[in-house]
Amino acid sequence: MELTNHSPALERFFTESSGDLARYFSRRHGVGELAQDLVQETFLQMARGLRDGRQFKCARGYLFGIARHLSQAAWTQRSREAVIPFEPATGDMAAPIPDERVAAARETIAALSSVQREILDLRFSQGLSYAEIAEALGIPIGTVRSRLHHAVAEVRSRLESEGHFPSPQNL
Amino acid sequence: MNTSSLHALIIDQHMGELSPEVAELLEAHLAQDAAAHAEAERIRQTLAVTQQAMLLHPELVRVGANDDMTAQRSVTRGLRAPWLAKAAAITLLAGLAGAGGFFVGRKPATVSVTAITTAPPALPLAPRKDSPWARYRIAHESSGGGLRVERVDLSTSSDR
Repeated sequence: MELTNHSPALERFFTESSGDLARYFSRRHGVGELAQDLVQETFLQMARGLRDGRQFKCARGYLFGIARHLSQAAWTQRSREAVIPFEPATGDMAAPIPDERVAAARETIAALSSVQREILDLRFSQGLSYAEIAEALGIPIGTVRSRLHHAVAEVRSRLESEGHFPSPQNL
Repeated sequence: MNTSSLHALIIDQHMGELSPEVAELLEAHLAQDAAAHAEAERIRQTLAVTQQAMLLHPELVRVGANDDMTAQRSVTRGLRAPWLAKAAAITLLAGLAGAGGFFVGRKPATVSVTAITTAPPALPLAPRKDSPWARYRIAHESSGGGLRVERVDLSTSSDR
């Protein structure tokens, strides 16, 4: 898809991506005007980048890279004002069923580095590919892959240690 | 195929990152090897649980929280070895105390040197006769470099 400023392809790309971006921001900042403003700002920045001749490998990764920066800036602004309570959206998920495995996984993920958590989020919540995640985070694809594998291995190790499924040695 | 390669391939397959040819080969291997098949099933379960945890807990990706954690880590990194901080503080205090003691200890010597260098020529060798110090005089001791108090025999000192 050839993306140029004001091209129909760009409009279509924005239309297709607006839902994903809204989910991305609402998971971080809650559902509301702020999330919508950030979606619009993301599109504006991408359009400006195209106007200025900015080159990128994959459009979606580039878009989420802008979104990430804007989200961080919004958090910084929030922490300065320190008035808005955080009520993140949980997406389209039904009421969570208590699950010891999910609780254990949550604890393990919480102990991972912020980059690893972002990789997991961009993959599992947004469905981005390794290449798109790499573009969004500005890191090599190999790093995305290895960190994701490491995160999964950590969760798996925790689940095994708690006996949620037998380790291969016990088979 | 070793375990780590199997893990990597299964995760990449789940993520849709394997080419169709490689995915087909992997499936053929899993169909033949029961242990590998069971292992693949566990990894897929792990991936499903991980995904569920991420979807149910958006607080895990709060950028602000991440930044806080990073900042906290950088702040606490210096305090990770409390003994080191204590040792540094003790060394600093000991150094300050030593330096202070050195300079305080040097003060009298300085005064003494000043007194020695300035006092001898001006010392009154003949105190007044009605003074309680009339029987004594203070003289510069050339050998030791200090001051000497000596008794004066008034009967012989006719000039006073």
